[in-house]
Amino acid sequence: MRLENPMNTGVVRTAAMMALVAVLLTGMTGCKGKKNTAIDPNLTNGNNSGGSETSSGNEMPEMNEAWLFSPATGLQAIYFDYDSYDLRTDALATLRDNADKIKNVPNSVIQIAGHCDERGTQEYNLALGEKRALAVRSHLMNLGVSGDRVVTITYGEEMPADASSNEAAWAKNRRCEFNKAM
Amino acid sequence: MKQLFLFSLSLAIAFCAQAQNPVQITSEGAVGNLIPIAVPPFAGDASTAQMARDLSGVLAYDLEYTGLFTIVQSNQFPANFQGMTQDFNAINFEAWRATPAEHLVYAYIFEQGGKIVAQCRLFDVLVSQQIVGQQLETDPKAWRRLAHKFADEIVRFLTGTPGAADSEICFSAGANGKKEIYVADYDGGTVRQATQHGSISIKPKFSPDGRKIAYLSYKDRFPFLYILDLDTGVSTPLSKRVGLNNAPAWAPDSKSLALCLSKDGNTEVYAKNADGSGERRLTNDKGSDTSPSFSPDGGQIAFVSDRGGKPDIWGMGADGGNPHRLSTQGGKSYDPAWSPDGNSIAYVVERSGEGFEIWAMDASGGNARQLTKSGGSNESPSWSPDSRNVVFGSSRSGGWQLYGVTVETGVVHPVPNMSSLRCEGPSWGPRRSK
Repeated sequence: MRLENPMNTGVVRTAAMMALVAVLLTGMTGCKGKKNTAIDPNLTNGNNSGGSETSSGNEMPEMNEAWLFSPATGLQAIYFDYDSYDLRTDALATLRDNADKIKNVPNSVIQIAGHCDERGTQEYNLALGEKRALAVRSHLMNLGVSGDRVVTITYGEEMPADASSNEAAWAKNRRCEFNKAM
Repeated sequence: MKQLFLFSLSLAIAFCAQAQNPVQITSEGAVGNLIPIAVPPFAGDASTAQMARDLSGVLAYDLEYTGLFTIVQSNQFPANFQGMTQDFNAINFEAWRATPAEHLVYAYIFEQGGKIVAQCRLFDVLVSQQIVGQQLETDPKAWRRLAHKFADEIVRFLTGTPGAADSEICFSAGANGKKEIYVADYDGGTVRQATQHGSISIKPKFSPDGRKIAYLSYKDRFPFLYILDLDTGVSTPLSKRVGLNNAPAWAPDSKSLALCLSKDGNTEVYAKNADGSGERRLTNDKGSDTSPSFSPDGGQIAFVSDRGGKPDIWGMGADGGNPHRLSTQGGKSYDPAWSPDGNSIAYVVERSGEGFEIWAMDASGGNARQLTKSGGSNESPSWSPDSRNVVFGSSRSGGWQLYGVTVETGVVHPVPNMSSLRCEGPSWGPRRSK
């Protein structure tokens, strides 16, 4: 038996996810996040039939939108170098995690918001924020996230995470954030 | 004797007090030969006396801002000068000739039929004569325009080209995430809020006829473009395409605009009519194209493109034909603004190790020269109607404020009267017509 959605991502990291896998494998219900994770009855030799994670007694978080957009457990912002929309190594790692989480909450639509630091003109930074958001969207699609689940918006330099004018603030402001699409 | 001393002292205090718009010049350039002109406090009747004194300060600022004049300070006035009166035969020109002043400005202000009236005069000190006389009137709310209009007339008389003091700027102001569009006299006076969207509204652009403002707003959640009709106060959508709608630029006829859209993948320059119809694409390139600005004859568009590997100012025909690179000074270039006289393009240059500075070049691309040297960010240049000055937003003082630079001299003035607002992204409107 193979789970089409959460199991074939390959990068299931948290104990909570392990617990979910165990629950789904044993056909148990009770998780809203499972809604579209259809179990394909025709495939019985899935490579994810791990036998070790059987501790079904653990408390399991609901992988719903509240979880997906929670600052603690949910999608994490990624950061960019100055005047760049290249995805850094640390951003690629975060995006892998984010893609897994997105695939665990299948009905949710995510808005990627591209932001810039205050250096550079407002018009240029609006375009740069757009490129950052589009680069992230494209990478998430490469990681298997459906394109119709990720929309983009740019805020340019208009919504800094830190309004200070120094290198530390600028580094925090060159980012993409992941929010629930309205 | 003691009485006389006290009188002189109080007079001196009065003169100091009238200088309520002190011109703060942070010279980033050299000042050439300037016309010395005296603007003693104007007088009025009982109800207009304060306004009259304020108007002399407004007019002195207007003249100094042109970069053509130096204002003779009150401590250089004739020793026995006790203020101007309506008896112009009493002007002691011989005493004035002993001061640096070559010209003397005076106006008498009074109220009549619900209007404020100014009888304005320009005297030539060297020949002891009035050389310009003009009676102006205005709605009381617009009283500062009396000074602006006479300043423009003085400039017209002495140079052959009218000044640009009777004009307005628009800009955005507010905190992060909550910015509105404002309009003010070019010198920051008579500030009024033009939008009430409770959102992010930025980058306003005055139409060349001064009747409308195009701007970007998130008021409908996404970065869309709108046009505000200043006569009706109504905003209508210009472009609500998917992705980024950015950088509106008016064509000289005020009937169509260039704008930038990302709906086809990367940002390209388009044109459309002000009513939202007739959208057509002008650029076709793998690079990102943004920030268009029309030449005043409408035949050319300057814009920013990174098709050459970094952001530079490029030019093209208004139909998108014949793209060619204009900026060659090195570094990255942004925010081109074509001057109303057609001769120059102001823009922003970022060079390694420096901030973002305002530059100008000939419209054909040569003769690039740096206008500001403050460090930090200087952005969004926009020309005065007489092509003498450029207003821009700057972070040089910490927060964002508006400044002007006189192109010929490089003299930088903060736009006064607005220190309570966090302002950016200015656009300078035309000379006011009525």
